[in-house]
Amino acid sequence: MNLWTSAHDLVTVATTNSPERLLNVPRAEETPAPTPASEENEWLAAAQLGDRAAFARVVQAYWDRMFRWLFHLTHDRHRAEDLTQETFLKALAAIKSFRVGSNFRAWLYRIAHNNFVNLKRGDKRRAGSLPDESLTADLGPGPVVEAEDSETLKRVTAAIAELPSDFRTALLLRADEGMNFKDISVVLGITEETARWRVFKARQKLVKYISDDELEEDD
Amino acid sequence: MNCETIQNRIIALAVATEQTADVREHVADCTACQIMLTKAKRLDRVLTQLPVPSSQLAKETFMEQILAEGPVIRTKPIAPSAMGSGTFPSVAKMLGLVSPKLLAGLAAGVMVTVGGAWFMTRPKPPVVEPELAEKPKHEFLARSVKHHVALSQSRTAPERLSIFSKWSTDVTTEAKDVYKAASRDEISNIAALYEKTVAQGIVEQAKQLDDHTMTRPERLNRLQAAMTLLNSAAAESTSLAAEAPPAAQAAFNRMATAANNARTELLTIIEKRGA
Repeated sequence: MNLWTSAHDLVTVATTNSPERLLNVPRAEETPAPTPASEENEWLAAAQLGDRAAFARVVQAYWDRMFRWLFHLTHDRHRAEDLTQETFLKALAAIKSFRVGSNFRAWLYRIAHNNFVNLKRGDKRRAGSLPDESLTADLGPGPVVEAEDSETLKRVTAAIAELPSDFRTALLLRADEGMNFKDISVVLGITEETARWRVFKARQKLVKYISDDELEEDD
Repeated sequence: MNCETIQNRIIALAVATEQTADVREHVADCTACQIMLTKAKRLDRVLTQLPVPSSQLAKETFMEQILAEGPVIRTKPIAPSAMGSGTFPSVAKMLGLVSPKLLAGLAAGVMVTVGGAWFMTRPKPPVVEPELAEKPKHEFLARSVKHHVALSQSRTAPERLSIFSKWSTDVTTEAKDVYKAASRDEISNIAALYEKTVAQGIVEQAKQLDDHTMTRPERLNRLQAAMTLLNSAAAESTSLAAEAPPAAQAAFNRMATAANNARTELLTIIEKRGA
């Protein structure tokens, strides 16, 4: 074990823990543009042959969106990071079993969802609860908040956190990740109709948090 | 179609702008459904703007692991965390290969084997296998863990500033202790550690000191104490850079630069806020 690397990690974790550092990065700017399928398939084929750099490109392409989804599921930055890492490690371990040309995103998110479900089961056993950073952190002024009314954003964020986890996972895959219902059903291991129903119910609940008096400027 | 059906359709579409012709036709003449459509559009926008913290550092660290030689999970130590969940999950957890029960069984097996081996060989002069020998506890790592735990329990910027200050002192002490024997990579790692402790620790926390957390004189005191520490570290690092082996010179220069930069930033904070 490299002693200084270990200490380095401690500092890295420590310097990024403070709530002041949360919620300060515009999401859209961080997200890499979707990778063309052909290019992604090349990376995956190379990764199956043991090319670490190719797999690193896959990680680069999916890390931010995967982390974002998991953060909204766990409300805990560290758990979301752990789960994201775990997902990619499992994907790397099983990459040879993936059929190149099929739906990698759904395959990867399925792994992530299984990890999340396992985490929840562990929490239930320990009777622990996930801290809710998204609710307690101060949004503060910034590009994201300026773009949309911060009160609405806070209300909707809080309402999403209140949604049952099954509904939240489906809604965010649809709204944030832009997945179609078929892929959502693959990721969550449910039928397409159930996926559609969950997204509908979640949106039905959330739309109530958009108040009438904020609509004047909308078209 | 009645309004309820139309509004359900509006809600069902993730992209509210892609409404069918019959919905558009109804909405054009119905105020209630127009409001619902506007709300749905707004919800779509909000859902794409949900706040998320940055995971850039974790990503970069992970990418380095992926690109490093050898098995990914063995290149990274497990950082203890008081938050109950560290940046790096346990080896077993990461691979999902070993269940806790199996791990416990394995540990028991190892203990029985080791105990049996000890029993069989006890008349002989004691020979300790290298792997089983107790490794010396490393003070620096122990102190780093202690600081880390203290940080996770800290609640205010002044507390964190104090912890990072002590931590940076520990790092400089470690650099002084090992620079003659350390390889270029090792001393460079220490320098990087110092840079991070100072720039992302001391300076960041100094920025958080405000009138809500302490009075101006107190704040000035804290900032001046931190500046004194940085001054001393910069001077010492510069001095060591002059006499250190070539492998360590660059590292000490980096540390001196980091200390000077941080001192300048603290000075700016004092001038701006009139602390």
